[in-house]
This record gives sequence, C-alpha cells and structure tokens, in this order.
Amino acid sequence: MANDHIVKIRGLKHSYKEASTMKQVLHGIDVDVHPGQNVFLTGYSGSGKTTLISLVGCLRSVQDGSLKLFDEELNKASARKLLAMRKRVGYVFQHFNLLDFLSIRQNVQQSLEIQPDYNPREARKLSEEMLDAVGLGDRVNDHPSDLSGGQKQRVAIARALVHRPKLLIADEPTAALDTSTGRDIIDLVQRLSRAQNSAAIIVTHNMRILDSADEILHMIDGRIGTAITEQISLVLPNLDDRHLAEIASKAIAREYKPGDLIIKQGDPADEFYILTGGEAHVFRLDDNGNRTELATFSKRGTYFGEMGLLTEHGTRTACVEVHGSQPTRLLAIKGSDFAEMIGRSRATRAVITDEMWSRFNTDGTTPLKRPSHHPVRDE
Amino acid sequence: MFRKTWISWLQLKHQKAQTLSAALGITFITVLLFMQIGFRSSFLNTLLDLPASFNADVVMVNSSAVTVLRTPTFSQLRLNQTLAFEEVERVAPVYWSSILMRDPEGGEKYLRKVQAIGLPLTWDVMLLDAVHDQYDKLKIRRNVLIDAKSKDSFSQIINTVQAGEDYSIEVRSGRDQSSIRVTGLFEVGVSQSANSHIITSDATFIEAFNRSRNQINVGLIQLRDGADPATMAERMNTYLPSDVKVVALPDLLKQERAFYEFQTPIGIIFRFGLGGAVAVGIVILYQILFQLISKYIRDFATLKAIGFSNGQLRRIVLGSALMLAVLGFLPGLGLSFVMYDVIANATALKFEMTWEVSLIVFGAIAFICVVSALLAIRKLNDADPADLFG
Repeated sequence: MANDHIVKIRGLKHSYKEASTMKQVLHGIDVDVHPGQNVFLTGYSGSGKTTLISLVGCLRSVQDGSLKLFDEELNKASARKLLAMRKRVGYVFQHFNLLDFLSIRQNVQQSLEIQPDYNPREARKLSEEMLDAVGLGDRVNDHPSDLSGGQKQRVAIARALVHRPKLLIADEPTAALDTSTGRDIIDLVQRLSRAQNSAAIIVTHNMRILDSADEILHMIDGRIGTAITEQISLVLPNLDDRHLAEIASKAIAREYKPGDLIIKQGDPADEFYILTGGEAHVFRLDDNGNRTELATFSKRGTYFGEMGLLTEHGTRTACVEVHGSQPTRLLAIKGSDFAEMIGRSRATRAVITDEMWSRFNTDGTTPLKRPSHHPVRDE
Repeated sequence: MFRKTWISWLQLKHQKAQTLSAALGITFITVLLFMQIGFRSSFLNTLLDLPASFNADVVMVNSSAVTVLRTPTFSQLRLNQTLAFEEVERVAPVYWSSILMRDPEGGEKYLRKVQAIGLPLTWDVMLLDAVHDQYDKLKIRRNVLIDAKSKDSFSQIINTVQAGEDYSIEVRSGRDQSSIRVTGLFEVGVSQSANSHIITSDATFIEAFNRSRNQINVGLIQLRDGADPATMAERMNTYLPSDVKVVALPDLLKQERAFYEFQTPIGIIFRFGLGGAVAVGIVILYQILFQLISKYIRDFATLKAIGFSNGQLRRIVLGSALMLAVLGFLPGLGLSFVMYDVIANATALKFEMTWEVSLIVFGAIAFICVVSALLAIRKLNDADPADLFG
C-alpha cells in the first residue's frame, strides 16, 4: 500500500565537507516507519543520529539514496518542498526551544499559523485543547519562564502535535529532565501521538524508556545496527552496564522468514531468544500430532526458550514459528551464556523464573530445574 | 484583533531595555532630520517668499541674472515691449535693493540687509499681506511699510508703528543717504538674505535710492485669461533682445529653489547634513536590529524548523524595524515641535511644522529602518534549524 509507510529510507548516504575532503556520516541507511509506530533511535555521539533525523525532518537536503516521507521523495526536493513538508512534521527539541516572548498558547499556536487552512479562532481553540491534553489547560497565558522543565517540554509536545502531524520527531526529549518527569513525557508523547495515529521517531540515550518503543534502531558509525544492548536491557533491566555489554557481545541477531520454524518441540534446548521484530507463534503437539495453540508474541522484548533451559530434561517443550507475513527478528543467546546471565543477578533470575512459572502454570507439566548451581554475584 | 500572533511587537515588548534604547536612537535621528529639513525648508521658503508673492504669470529679469533676488537691473522699455503681445493684460516694474537703516537704538550703527522694494501702486503687484490695503499711505512721498516679522533689532520701529505712530529713520543705499517715514506694517519674514523688508512706491524708491526708470529689477507681466505662460515666455524670449529673459512664474520658482539648493554652499551643506543624518540612522538601527536578531537567532531557527519561510522571518524583522520607526518617530516629532517653536522665536526664521515635513521625516525614518532591517536580515542566514538537533 502506498501510504503504509510514513518514512521509507533506502540506501541513504550523507557526507559533510570537512576541510577539503568529504566525510561520510551515513552509509546506506534503510529504515521503515509505519503509521502509529514509535521508533526509538539510539547510538553514541557522532554515530549519525542527528544527521538522520534532520534529513527525515526535512531540515537538510538529501544527497544520495532515497528518503520518502509521506510517500513523497525528498531526494532532489526543492527548498520550497522541504518547507512545505516541515509543516507536516512535529518537532520536539532537547532544550524545548519555546519562544520566551510568547505565551504558551501563542507558542503552540505557531504550528497552526503557518498552515494553509489557518483560522485564528479555530487555532486558538485547538491550542488550548492541546494544552489541556498535556495538563496545562489552566496556564495558557503563562510564559515559558513561569514553567518547570517538564512543563516546558509538555508545551513543546503540544506545539509539535497541535497540527496533527503524521510524524513526530523528538530529539532527546528527556535529556534535560529528571527520570520520573522524563518517563511522563515519553508516556505523553506516545499517548498523544498514538491517539492521532502519528508515527514518532524519538532519539534517546535513556535506556529506562526503551521499553515503550515499538522498534529500537541503534546507529553505529553511520549504519543501522541491531540494538542488542538496548533489547537485552529491556528484558533484563537489573543487569548492570558491564554485564549487559558482555552479554550483548555474545548475542546473535537472527531473522526468520514467514513460515520458518524457530524452535522444534523435543529438540535439545541450547538457546534463549528475545523478540526484536515481527511476531512469533507458540504451539504444542501431542503424541498424535494434534496441535494446541499456546500464544502469539508480538511485543518487542518478549523472550522465550527459557523453559527448555531451566527444566530438568533440557528439551524444547513446544514449537515456535514465524507468525504473519513479516519476518521475525530475534536475538539468540547461547544456553551457557544464559545460565551465566541469570546466575549473576538474583533479580534477573527471579524475573525470568516468574515468567516461566506463569507460562508453566498456564500450559505445562514439565518440572523445573533449579538454576541454583550458578553463583550469584550481584545484589 | 490580529489574525496572527504579532511576533515583531512581542519580541520588542519582551526586550524592553533594548527596545527603549533603539527607540531613543531613532528619536535622536528624527530630531536631527527635523532640524536639517527645518533649516533647509526655512532657508528655501523664506528666500522664495518674495518671488512667490509676484502677482504675475510671467516674469522678466536681466538675462545675466542667476537669481531673481540679486538680479542686475534692465530698462523698463523692455518690459513695455511685451505689451505688443495681445495676450498681455498688464505689466509692472519692481525695484529692489539691499539698503542700510540707521539703528533705532541710536549711535552711528546701521542695521544691515534690509530689502527695499518699490512697486507701482496701480494694482496689487505683490500678493503680500496688507500691502495693497495700504497703497494710500504709500502714495505720500517717503512713506514706507516695514515687515512686521523683521528681526528683533527692528522691534522699536515696529512697536511704534503698531502703536499708530509714524517712525522716521535714515537709510543708505550705496553712497546715497536719505530719510524715510515708516507708516505701516506688512508680513513676509526674514530670510538668509534679508533681516527686514520695506515696501514703498516706485516713485519713492527712485527718489530715495537714486534709481531711474531704466533700472528696474523685475518686470511682472499678467496675461489675459487662456494664455499659456510657458508658451508666452518662449515667444517673448524669441521676440525680445537677449539682454533680458522671460520665465513663467512657476518655472522661475523652480529655478530659484534649484539654484539655492544645489548651487549655493549652504544648500550643499544641508544636503550633506541630511545624508549624514540618514547614514548615522542606518548605522545605529542596523546595530540594534543585528543585536536583536542575534539574540533571537535560536528562536528564528525554531520557527524555521516548524515551517516558517525565510520571507515570513524577514517580515518579522521588517515589522520590528517599522515599529521601532513609529516608536522613535512619535517622541521625536513632539520634541521637534518644541524645538521648532524655540528656534522660530529665537531667529525669526520661518520654522513651521507642516504635515509635509512630518511625512518627509517619517518617510526618511521608515527608509532608514527598512534599509537597516534589510542589512541586518542577512544575519537570519545563521539561523539553521538543523543546529537545533544534537
């Protein structure tokens, strides 16, 4: 479907002039963002995140490759077209970037005043409604200097969404905020953008908010890599950064095509899996070959394969196959690494054990193999 | 009230101290311009007051004259020759001379630069206030009228006449010395070339200042209805010998104005002064606007990011500049009103605050603001929305 993509990037490259040479910062990026999808973009400083979002946000011209926004090609787009496209995107900046000399209602209203169908009365009403939605309905005439950091970011979100853009780009929206406020802001962005069926690309270094992403893209040296560390941190939030990095270095990214069988019931259990994309379906076969449907996993970060690793006989207790027409992407962690992983953190072990008990009580009869032989080093 | 948020105004309102200093800078420039234009207008208008009062369609002067106020004399015969044209209704010779008048305060001193004008008393040759009504007084030999708007040094004479008494005083023209009797008042106003004026009959003028009928300064020619002055002047110039020239009155006034404005040192100084004031204004306001844009550069980048075009941002800066123009102009106008009054009283020069002058100054201030804004707008190029990320 033509309008299935909000953003469709293929082979995107970008370079900056540095002295007399050109320094390439993006190396053939491929990204898809669909309506209503929340994509989190992570990566170290200098990895190309800023360049990528400024290209998607029509703040720079595309040099090489294809970047389609709302199904319109931006490569070779004129400055006028980029300007027109910017009016259809919402922006949230790390430092809020509110205009101090305007009231917060006037700040929000700026996004509407540049729209071709601008109506002053309607714009005022929409701005006040949007400020109400972000919890600032009683402060529409205040100025940004009267607000806290979190409140300023709420105003910035209202400004970014008041014209109902199909794409919201947020650059480190929680960086200048404390943890609790940052979480609230992300929840707000997601609630409002999903209510409008807007896609959101959120650049962040904040691991604590990644669980709310539909997809995590990790940029490394101008390329999109697998966000292994980020994905594992979601599943195992109690691991410290050193252990996380160690396990991430051992995880393997795999992609299965539609129809592929990921786990076969009865096979020796040798890997633990974390879902990073697509869907996986779990079913069990009885002795007569009759199939019992157990579950379908679609939430990124869902893990499976732990039962075979933690139970006595060490075999797979069910089958897992690719579900739907899209490929399924997984992170695979070897059984020995998994054992070491849960051995290092009592909290991690508890989380996984609880999840396994929950599944076990629902569908199984297999007795547990206690992982107590692994030394516990943290807590 | 407004369709869109008035960003220009709100920016200025937010930066009160900066806006106040900018407005004060423009007020200063406004006063400077009013003074320059006021002096220039006073200088030109007072010099043109006399020729502008000629009740004529075309004027005859000596062909070597560069300005009607300092024209060499010529024979009245030439003026009478124009009566050969059937379009000519009537003619009148006008005499004038710069004379000295004994200082009423006493002693041996003389008051300088008194413009004496001699007219035939047949018709209202010069449209000067109250002159025609006092022709009867002027019919008596040695009687003169004096300009009620003369400089203060003539106030004793004027006060005496205003009190209803005549004032006799000695005058000198060249080596000739004579006595005249001031019997009435009229109004012209002083100029760069005259501290006072007196008007008398042609007969008294010839007698008191040793002139003959063949030594007139200006010939005034009235045409019959329907005759075109410019065409008639051209025909008369063809017809008459080259020792005189005939000019339509409006053309004469234009030539006079151009002469004083462009060919006299004082006119050139005024123009330089005006240009200087405008240049200083542009520099001051450019600095202020440049600082304003620099201060708001991140805001401009934000507006660019959310979809404001360069044109819209330029309009914001231009709007700020024009608002500063108004904010600075209004107090400048008020201050200039007061200063015009003070200067007019102190110098007896004609310093009048007219709509025309006010509009010219406001136009100049608006020009200064727009040029400054256009120069400062280049700074907007530094507002790169991509810099807001990262």
